Amino acid sequence: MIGIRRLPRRARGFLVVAAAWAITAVVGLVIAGTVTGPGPASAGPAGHTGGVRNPIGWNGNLYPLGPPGSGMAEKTTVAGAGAKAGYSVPVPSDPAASRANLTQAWVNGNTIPSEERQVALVFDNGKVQILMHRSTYQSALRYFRAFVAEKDLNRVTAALGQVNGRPALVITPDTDALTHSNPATVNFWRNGILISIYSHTYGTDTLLAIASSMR
Amino acid sequence: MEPIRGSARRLASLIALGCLLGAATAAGTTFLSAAPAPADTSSCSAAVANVEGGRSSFHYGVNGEAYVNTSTTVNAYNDGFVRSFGVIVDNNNWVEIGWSAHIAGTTSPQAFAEWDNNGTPGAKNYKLVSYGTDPGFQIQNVGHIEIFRFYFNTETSPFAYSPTMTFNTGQPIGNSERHNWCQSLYAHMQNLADQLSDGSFETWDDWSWCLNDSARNPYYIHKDSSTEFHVTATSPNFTTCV
Repeated sequence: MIGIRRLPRRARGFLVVAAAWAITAVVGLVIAGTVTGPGPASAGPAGHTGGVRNPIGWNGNLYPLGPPGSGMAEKTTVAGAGAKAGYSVPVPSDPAASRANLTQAWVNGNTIPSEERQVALVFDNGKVQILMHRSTYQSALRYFRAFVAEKDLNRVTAALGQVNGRPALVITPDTDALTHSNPATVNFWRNGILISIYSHTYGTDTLLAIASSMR
Repeated sequence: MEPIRGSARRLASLIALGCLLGAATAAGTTFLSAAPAPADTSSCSAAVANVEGGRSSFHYGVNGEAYVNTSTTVNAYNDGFVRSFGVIVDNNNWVEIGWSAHIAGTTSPQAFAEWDNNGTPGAKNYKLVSYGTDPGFQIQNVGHIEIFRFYFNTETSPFAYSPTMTFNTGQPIGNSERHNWCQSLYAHMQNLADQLSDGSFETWDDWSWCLNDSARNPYYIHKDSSTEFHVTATSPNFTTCV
């Protein structure tokens, strides 16, 4: 106040206007900032580092062998899949997966050699998937044992089990170290075919029951 | 009394003028700072999209170089940003190599190897890559033992090995991937090749497989040759994509 008294009248007026301007501008900006919220995140190295990379750019639960129209797979029937793959395709008879709730059957297209063609059966709109391809018993058993032995790479709860007296690989769902969201999986060998059953809905007990019912 | 009343009136006028100017300043600053935003960034949200090219035939490995986008592009939204190559059999069995940022433990662009073994995922992050460069990546299946080796640039030793997988061959692809729909999918993939049974590599030849699910903020795949493609915002795709 002492300073102001010493200033000329016009200067005092200027100071009053400036002070009112500054106070109002600051209060106004604070209110605007509160109402509109923070702006977009600033560019920089920090950010989300969680989540998973995923090259499967389609609905893998419904189309395990590739998206419709891709040429990777053809939609067919169980009999048609067997004819194209060159082996008999077994089907389960379990409440969770049976001919009654078979949603789709797929087989690899002509770009894949017939001896390598996979068959995929999708049940209950993707709740259960069964994939199969040719394999020797020795090869299947070697894979099961390798999967359990390579704990440092697979980092999931897995064990050897049995399906109808034959060795099987059983993987517990949601136990992988990376995402904690792996599907329940049962693999087993039957009549020259390695069969893989996957589900994000059911546990391994149900998948083992499905496996045992396959004929 | 008259001089005092006049002085008070003058003081009130000056304060009112100051408040008016202050309000105008606050409003102007608020609106001007908001006006030039290039997009409604407040509505940008998580949404995965992929634009991919590849062969529908099966091969033992894949090779390619993937352009590392500028810092401005990669870090615009701090969400997952991936450029990669893969060998895919089905949705639960594949191997992948490339670079990523803001996802799966990576922040700045960083090389990685990843796989899905029978539904069980695994990954290893490797060296940082520089913006504006074209690092090389290669996956090899040596000896057909269902184990894949991951190579970075011209390094002679693999930086990662897959576990034993259920397959020896799969479909080779190049993948541009984003995890926020506002992000760019711009990509440049070159020196595309796949591995044959004898271990040698061949070009992608007459490749024509493509996938594009970038309907929101669309990007398109452009085939340059048997060894190169771009993903840009210019339509259309070079062929019908799934």
